[in-house]
Amino acid sequence: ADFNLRAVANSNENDEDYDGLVVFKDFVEAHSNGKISVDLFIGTQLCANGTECLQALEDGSVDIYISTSGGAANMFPYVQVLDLPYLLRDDRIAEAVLSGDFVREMRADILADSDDSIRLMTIGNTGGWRNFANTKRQVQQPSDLKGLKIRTVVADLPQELVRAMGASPTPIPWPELYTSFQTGVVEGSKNGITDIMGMKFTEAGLKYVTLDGHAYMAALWYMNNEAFLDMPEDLRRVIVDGFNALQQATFASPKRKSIQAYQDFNKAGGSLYVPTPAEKEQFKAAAMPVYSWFEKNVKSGGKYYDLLVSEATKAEQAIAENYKSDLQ
Amino acid sequence: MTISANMAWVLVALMVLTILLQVFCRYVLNSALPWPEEVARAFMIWMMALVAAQAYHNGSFVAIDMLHEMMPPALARLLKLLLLVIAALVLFRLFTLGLEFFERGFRTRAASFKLPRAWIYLAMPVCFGTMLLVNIELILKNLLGLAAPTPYQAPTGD
Amino acid sequence: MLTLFLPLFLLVLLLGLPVFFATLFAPGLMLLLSDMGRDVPMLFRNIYNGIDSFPLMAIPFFMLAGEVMNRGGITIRLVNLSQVFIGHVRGGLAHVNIMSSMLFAGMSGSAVADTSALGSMLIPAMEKNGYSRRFAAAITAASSVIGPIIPPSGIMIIYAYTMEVSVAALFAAGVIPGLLIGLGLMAVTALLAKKHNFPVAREKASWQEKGAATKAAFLPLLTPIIILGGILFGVFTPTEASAIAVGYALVLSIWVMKTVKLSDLPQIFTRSAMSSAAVLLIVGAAIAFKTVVSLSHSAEDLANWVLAISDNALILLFAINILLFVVGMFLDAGPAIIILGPILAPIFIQLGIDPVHFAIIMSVNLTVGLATPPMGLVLFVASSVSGERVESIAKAILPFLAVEFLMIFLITYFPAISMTIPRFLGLA
Ligand code: NA
Ligand code: NA
Repeated sequence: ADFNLRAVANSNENDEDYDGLVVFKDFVEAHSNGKISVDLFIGTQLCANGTECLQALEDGSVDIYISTSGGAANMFPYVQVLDLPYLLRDDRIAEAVLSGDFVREMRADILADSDDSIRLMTIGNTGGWRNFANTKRQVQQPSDLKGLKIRTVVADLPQELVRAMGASPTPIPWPELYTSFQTGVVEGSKNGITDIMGMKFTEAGLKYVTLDGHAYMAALWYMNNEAFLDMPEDLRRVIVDGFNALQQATFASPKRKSIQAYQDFNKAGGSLYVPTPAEKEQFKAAAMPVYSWFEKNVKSGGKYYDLLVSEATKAEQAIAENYKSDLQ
Repeated sequence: MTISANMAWVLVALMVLTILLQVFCRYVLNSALPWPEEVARAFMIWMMALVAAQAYHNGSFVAIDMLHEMMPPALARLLKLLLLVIAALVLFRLFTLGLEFFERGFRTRAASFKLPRAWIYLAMPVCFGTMLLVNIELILKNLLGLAAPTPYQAPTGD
Repeated sequence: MLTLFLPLFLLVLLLGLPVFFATLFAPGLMLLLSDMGRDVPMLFRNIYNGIDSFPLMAIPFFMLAGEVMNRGGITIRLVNLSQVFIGHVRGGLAHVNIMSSMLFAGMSGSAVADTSALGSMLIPAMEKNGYSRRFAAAITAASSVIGPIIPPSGIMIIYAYTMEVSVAALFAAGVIPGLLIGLGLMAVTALLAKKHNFPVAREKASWQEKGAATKAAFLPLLTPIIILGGILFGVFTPTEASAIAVGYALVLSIWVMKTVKLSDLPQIFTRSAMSSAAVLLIVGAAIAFKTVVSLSHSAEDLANWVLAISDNALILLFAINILLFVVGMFLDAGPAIIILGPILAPIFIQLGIDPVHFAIIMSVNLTVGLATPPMGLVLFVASSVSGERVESIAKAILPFLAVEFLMIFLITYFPAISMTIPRFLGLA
């Protein structure tokens, strides 16, 4: 092949990221007539976390990488806008927003902040939506979360959210979370259902899940800008189309995977609660301090908050418009 | 003790205190702090950087020397010189990579405290730079035929 | 071309380049020669990232805890305890040496610390009692490998960190193999004692003496219970437990037993900082080395090659024990685990060996390698502590190595030896 691309995902082969990469690899290798080859490195063989891997991407020792918004927050703090709770109503809205100019705007900022070395290619999903889950009680409204110790990653925004709900944020490394539930070091977490079942957290007592859907688990896909621009335009088009196929695959994969996960959750004796629209409004109201915290404390926070809200509104209007004809 | 060794033992003490504080907050006060883990890691890296040169000088970096004992002394000294030159090349490259790493660190913030990661990364060029100085000293000693190790006085202030 | 970094690594290692430099020089040079210079910064970044790790912090802490206990006279109390219980049998001090190592192992994670702490005390005592110095040094080195097999264990922390296995499970799995090796060494000692008519150390202790020695060692002996209990029942992370061990050792030796002064601390802390620095740098370099193993796909190639020879787990385990034993002669356990673990473990897990069981096979084997010439770290320490030449210790240690090698095979072919405790605790 003329162009050998090295793609890294820090997850494993059961993850949505891997599904996306498999689709991408197949697409670009076939559509470039073998001019591009993609070598997959799944796990932590080349680099182990967001900061490291983004630096490797800058150096050009990694060509393609996927991070969550938390993983990129230390370098590009504004990507945390994707963690802001309750701004995207559902999958349809989120997918419409992430297929539009929002990604292009963010690409420009990330390029500028990385000396033109990191190019955001697309934003997909990795694991559906984050929900509040706990070992203690059924949570129907924000006040039910009061006093619970909720595990978060070491990042400001999720900690602010947990505080806004009256709970206490506790940073625990992911591999230690299981025993921490067992011993009561933490009493809850904010995760997607596939992660909860993948780690068998129900066996450690995590039995109550509230489908508040407070954050879309966005997956940001980047490429080394030079590796991209070095290609002739026809191959760049193949790459861009390949990332589009990857995005579609990661939109679909969690929906398929969560079916089994919810069945397993029920079988393990888990209890699922779907908040009423009124209760969801309460959650959103309780989360208000997070929005102002984000606008005040995060670089370009105001800009991205406004952009995400306006793009979401646009998507809601377009879908409402479509309903007029689709429902008749 | 040298200044760097003094700083290192203080860092060890701070590491212990930081983690014990974390244990106390988590189990006794029932509310964890977000920063101790990352701070303790930063202390550990600086601790390592500050004593690495002295550890290198004291022979803490193990090597297989059975070949040297089987060789005529003159040849063994020549081989040792070659190995020291290789080590110097490695350390020099690590030092320059460390400087680049440090400069780039200004673009990344620590996750749990408001400081660029560069100030943690700086430990790496310090570590390899001071080891390089020791290595040069070892080369000079080899050239002068002073193979026997003498108590080391690290340059102060590094 | 790139795969040549493996033979180049072995070559410079045998020529006498320190492990740290060899681990970086060989892959670095081959990257440059393979026109992959863009990956050299990645090598560097992985050194840093290998070191910047919370689980790894347990290693400096356990080293420090051991250092404090040693300075605080805890080692002496353990030796006294062993004395009153076993000193009166034939070969008493040799047995005491082994039993002290088993007790010391519950507090220390390193064989080197064991050799220097117990060796400086017991080798002169054994000589005075009529043993040859080389025998005293050999039994010290041979029994010190129990240190990192009975938890806590620096080697198992490194294994757990690189292979993403639970430290708690490995610690639980190490208890019985460690005790078994101790008993095996005692059995050989008993045979040798009979044959060479070794001296007894003292007359049989009275119950009063036994009580007094137990009382003196009681508080130190709580350390393993606090550490292991905390880790195994998920109360603390291993790193937290290691910091607690430091705190407990400090309180004991400064305020309870009053054997360490506050003004001693800078020196104790500096010493442990220096030994930690060397370990941390080598771990970082080995993590970087592992990156190049991934890039070159040599792990997959090697796995295919191994499975082509045989896919019978029992035969491959036999072969792997021989391989690890040889590797252990030339490479320190830490780097050997980081480099070989990711290559070997997947092959055996695929063949149905439990990941924890394989971790123990590998850890025990490479730990025993610490006492085998030419690169056996504890042989060097035993030599510098005793003043006896490495070669003569190496000769005297052979019967003990033989029994340790036998134990490795028992542990390999009877998984229950290592797996019973972790299974019982629900850790594996
Ligand atoms: Na131990
Ligand atoms: Na011993």
